[in-house]
Amino acid sequence: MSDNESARRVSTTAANETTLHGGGETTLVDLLDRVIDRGVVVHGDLVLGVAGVDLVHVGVRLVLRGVDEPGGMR
Amino acid sequence: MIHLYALTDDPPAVGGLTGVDDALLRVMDAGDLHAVISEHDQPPRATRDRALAHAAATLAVCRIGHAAPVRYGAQHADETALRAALDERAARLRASVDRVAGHLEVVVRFDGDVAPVEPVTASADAASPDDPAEQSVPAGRAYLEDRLRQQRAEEAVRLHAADALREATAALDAWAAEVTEHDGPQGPERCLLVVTKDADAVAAAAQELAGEDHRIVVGGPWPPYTFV
Repeated sequence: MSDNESARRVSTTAANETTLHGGGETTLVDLLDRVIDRGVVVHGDLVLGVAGVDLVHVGVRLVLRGVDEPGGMR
Repeated sequence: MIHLYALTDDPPAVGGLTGVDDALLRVMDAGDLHAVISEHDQPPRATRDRALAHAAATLAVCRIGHAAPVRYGAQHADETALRAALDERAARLRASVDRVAGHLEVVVRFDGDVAPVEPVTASADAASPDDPAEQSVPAGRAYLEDRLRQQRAEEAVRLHAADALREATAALDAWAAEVTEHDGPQGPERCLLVVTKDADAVAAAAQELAGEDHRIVVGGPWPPYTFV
């Protein structure tokens, strides 16, 4: 990713955060909980689910927790 | 690879709107409903920033259109696969759209614990450790009884917080088509389903309450995830 593209992504992310929760962390968890755990569920391809468990859903939870944990990926 | 944001029965003008990885949104005809999607060469890996991008795009769509938000993570190989997935649950998806389209969600909760004014004490029938009868109780049973008392105390605190939140934010209810109360990731919360054109005013009214009662935290307006 070029420096310009990286800077644009950071700017877009900041704009999204301001729009969605005023840029503050207080309600970020509330919003992310909704985005990854509520809303209409439309199952994707079979590879994305095993035994009725949506792997994409589980994967999203693991990645997002990894970001918040010490030493997590950013 | 197709990333799905929202379902609608009235295709919104999404020209120029972007979503995950700044991909342009477009509307795909899916029979009875329409899907708001973006297309990607590779499946976008799940990250916090992409989840927020999904949320922002979904909010933009719900504000301008008659849409129900889709949970982050719904990806499909192509339009055929997406149409098949939508056809499988067409009736339920249609019902979701009918329920929430044209609405947004405003959320209120308390920040931090809200303890009862009177501390919740152990059950009156809890025996003293010095009680000979208590000394004869097997350790396992004593542990379970103690855990039960602890759970009851925690439940009492939770119910108190929920009651206090309802009382503190009751003034908002008149604006809402529906109000639901449940335990969120940070404690009891009240979610209000409000007509889109009123959503900003409701959020502003909630912020006014928060200005008077600093326990209150306000979220939204957001897509009505809780109500689908």
